Amino acid sequence: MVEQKKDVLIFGYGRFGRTIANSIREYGTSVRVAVIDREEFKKAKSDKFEAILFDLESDETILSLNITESLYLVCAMDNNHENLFLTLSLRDLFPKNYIIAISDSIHVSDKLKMAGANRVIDIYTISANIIKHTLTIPVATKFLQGFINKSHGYIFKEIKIGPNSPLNGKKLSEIDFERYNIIFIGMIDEELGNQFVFNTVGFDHKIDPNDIIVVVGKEEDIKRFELECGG
Amino acid sequence: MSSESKRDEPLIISFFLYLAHSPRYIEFKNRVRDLLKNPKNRYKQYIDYFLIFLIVSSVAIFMWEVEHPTLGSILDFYATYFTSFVFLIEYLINLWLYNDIHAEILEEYNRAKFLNTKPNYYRALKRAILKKLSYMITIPAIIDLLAILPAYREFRFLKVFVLFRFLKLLKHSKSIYRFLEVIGNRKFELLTLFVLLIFVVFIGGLAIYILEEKQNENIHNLFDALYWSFITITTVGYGDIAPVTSAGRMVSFVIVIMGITMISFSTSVIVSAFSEKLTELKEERVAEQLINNKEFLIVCGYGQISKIFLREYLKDEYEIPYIVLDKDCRRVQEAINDGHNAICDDASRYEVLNRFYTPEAKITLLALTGSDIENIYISLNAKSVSKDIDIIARASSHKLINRYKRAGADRVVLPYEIASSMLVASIVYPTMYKAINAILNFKDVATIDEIYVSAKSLIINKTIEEVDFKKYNITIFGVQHGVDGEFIFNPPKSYRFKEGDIAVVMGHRLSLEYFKKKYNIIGRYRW
Repeated sequence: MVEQKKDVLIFGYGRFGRTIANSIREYGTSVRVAVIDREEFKKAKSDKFEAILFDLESDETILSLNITESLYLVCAMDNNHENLFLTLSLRDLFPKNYIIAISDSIHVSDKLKMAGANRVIDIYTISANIIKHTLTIPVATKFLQGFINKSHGYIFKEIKIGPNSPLNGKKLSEIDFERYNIIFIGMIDEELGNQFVFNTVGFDHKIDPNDIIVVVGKEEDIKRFELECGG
Repeated sequence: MSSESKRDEPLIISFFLYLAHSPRYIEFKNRVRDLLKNPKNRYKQYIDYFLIFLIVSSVAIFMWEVEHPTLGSILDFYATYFTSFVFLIEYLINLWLYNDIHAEILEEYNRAKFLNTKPNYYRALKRAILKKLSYMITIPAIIDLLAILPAYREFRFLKVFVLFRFLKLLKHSKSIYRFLEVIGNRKFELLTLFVLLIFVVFIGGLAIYILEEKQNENIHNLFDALYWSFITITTVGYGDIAPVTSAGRMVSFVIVIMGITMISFSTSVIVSAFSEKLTELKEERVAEQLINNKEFLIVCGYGQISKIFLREYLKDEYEIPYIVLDKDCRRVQEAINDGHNAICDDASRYEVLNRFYTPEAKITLLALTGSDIENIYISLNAKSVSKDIDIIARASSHKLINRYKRAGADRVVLPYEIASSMLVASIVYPTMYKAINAILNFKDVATIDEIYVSAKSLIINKTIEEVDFKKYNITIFGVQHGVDGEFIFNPPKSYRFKEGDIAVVMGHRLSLEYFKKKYNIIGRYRW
């Protein structure tokens, strides 16, 4: 399912780190784990991860972790203070890497963003929102959750329009997505500054090469569409 | 000593057997009991209001009659006979509810049958009647009986009986009842103070009697002395009797000081009893208000998830009432400071959840404490209170899902795993992540909503093509019919909406609002 190989380095193997490391590995991504705690180190080893010990306060040990520019860095240490310090250090030492930080409250999220994390995942906010949605829009929530936990066969997929695609030059309203049993929900347009735009705002854009359209549907239907129209 | 065969049973036993096995009779008795005794019964308060009205109005008429004889008028008939008749019926019903005579008799019958002896019905009947009598001599029963008395002309000269009608108010007015309950909880302290008071009154009375019996012309006997002592110790001090000698005045110094001390003591005892009960009374009030709603939430545990959930939840237009329960009183205080209704109590205890249960309301319980053990226990507890309580529980690992389901949780939320999936998505499928994140975080531009097709909605019996979803840029993800229906992804344009359909759609919040108004989409489906 993963098109490009993406390597991930996870910091911390506690409450958060462990769950995250395991689910990322399920996707077939290569995962390494860096920890400061001997216990966590043992746990990671016994779960068959490539684990490395490092010292939060020594830049040398962090620099020796062999961090390349394409590596995704996930800060998932259980202690908020350590996690924040780690995020700051990593941003300082590796300005170009993509840093994802785990947070357990909205206040911590803001601080992590200020510290330089590219993306902050707030564990409890997502769940709280899902609970709220379950109460107000149960059918829709079940459908949405299906994407996340892969319980139904539908997926979100970005499709890059190649130079040979028959869709080039066509307007969105002219494309018959229904024929492929997929739903068009938005696109990323280079002309619009690489922003993701939902189809809810009502644009009728002309497709150019290198546009990315986002569709929802069964994996095989999307594949069929990609084959015929991806170019 | 022969064993009794079925046809030898006396007629009365057959009747009692019939009663004991008649579901109708049992159901009827239970209904009446529920109506009169169960504070959660919705109609009990109306009965109480009705009785309070009868009491107050009849007493008012009696008072009016003292100066304005209205004998024989309709008011007199109402105050004397009608109200008394209602009270009599209430009295008899209470007596009937107290125990089952037939149960006693049948027990004797069964016992005799089992032991193969002759049943002693007389003894059983005596036991049953004694039980009824034991009810009749309880204070509430006596008050009830005396409140009926004004109906008898012969007794009417005893106007004091009217007072008993007022005492009857105690039974039907919750606040007065609670006041007495609080005082009752301090029985020991108040009794001690009372004994001390009597003691000091006696000492003071005796002292003044010995010292001034000859000198003071107002003190004729010991009773006068005791009366003076009591009036002085209570700091009332009428002044009709006053000490005249220095020694007598010294006695009054001591008595007055003792009196003030004791009054302040008893005041503080009562006040502290109240302040102790105050939170409990407040909580009771909150609980009462909550269960009067048709639908409400019980949020167990006030941690991060609950906090964020409630904050988001309050923004919602569909908001239904809720209460927060937590074992940790500091967290409860925090919740109260955040503006929520919260009670410091343990949701894993049966009585605690049962207090909020009412069969008339749709109750959803959120088990969101940080511990799996607690959450599972709370879920089980809620299901043991009633199978109708819907439960959403938070679990720390998918390995526990089965255990949660077994404990009765209808939905299980896995914060760590949802977060991990989102994190994976943000790396592997950044665009999908952005889309779902926007949807989950209530971004206006991508609002996911459900369109519930009720009989009143204007899209009923129309096909998707006939409804101008396109015009409002609303995307239909799928349609499901009813609670357990199959979810049809991307329904064809020819799909015709039926009543009870739920369409999952995405659109701009504003377009969805407009669309719903235009097509009269009201109500929604509850999971």
